[in-house]
Amino acid sequence: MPRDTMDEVSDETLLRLYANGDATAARLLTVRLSPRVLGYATRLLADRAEAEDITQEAMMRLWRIAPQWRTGEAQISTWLYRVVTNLCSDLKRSRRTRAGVGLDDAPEVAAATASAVASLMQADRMTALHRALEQLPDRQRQAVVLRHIEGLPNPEIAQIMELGIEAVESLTARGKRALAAILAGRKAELGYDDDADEREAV
Amino acid sequence: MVDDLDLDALLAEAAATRLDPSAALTARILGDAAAVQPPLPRARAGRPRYGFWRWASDLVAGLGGGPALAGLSLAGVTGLVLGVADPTALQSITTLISGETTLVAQMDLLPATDILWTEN
Repeated sequence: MPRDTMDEVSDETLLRLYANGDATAARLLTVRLSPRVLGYATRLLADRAEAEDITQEAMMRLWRIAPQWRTGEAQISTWLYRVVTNLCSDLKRSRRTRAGVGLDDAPEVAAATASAVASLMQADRMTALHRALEQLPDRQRQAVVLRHIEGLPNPEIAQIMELGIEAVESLTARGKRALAAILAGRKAELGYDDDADEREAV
Repeated sequence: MVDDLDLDALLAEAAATRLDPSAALTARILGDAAAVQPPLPRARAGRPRYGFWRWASDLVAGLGGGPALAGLSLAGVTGLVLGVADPTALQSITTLISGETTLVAQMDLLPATDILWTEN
């Protein structure tokens, strides 16, 4: 099947093609899904190397379940988010006794800004955000990342976290408040002081 | 405390930042996919068995196909009927052709070999 046609094919159809022996389907699914999986895992773990391992494991579970995938039961992306959530929770439980995350562990951010300075500032902001997220309780962090960074609707988050919608709303709100409190006093680090000054000047 | 505007802007910036997998990670994922991918159905079926029907089909094809097999069968059945049937029914034809009423006329096609069949 031509590539431009394959781009319009659903994830579910691609997974079925993969299960039927189509090698192209695996490549397309990887291109589509792995950046989201890696991004989510990185934000939950604040460790790029571990997030890559989790991404590989989650994708491996997808390949293994492909022949038994039941059409229409769940979205593949929702299923993957749930797998990553569980894998990250297990990993964090196992490393609970380890020391906190250092700057060297912060994820590398592929910034696409015009200047090197702006790129560095953005990288600093993302590092600060990831370090702040790391301080949230697991469930709050998952809810905030899924809602405000991955941009998922609450019903889908409820499916991923296996919670009710009200519980998701509560976790998201509490997580966001806690995040704001953690980031308090870091406006300079986040690069927002200048913006505030500019707003005042206007 | 960071106000909502700043936090929303920060989260939106994070949402717009795409974390691309490295080439090495992509290669690992695709390697896993290839390792556990079910084979194509054609490959899974393998070489077909050479059973009776396949043999019969090849035989018919070797004889020239269905029409040839039908002709061969008809000739065989006709020969069998002629061999088994009562020769009385053919007497009129014999009389007409040879003028003899004897149903079975003995002909010695190779008289020189009679000595081989003679006892004592």
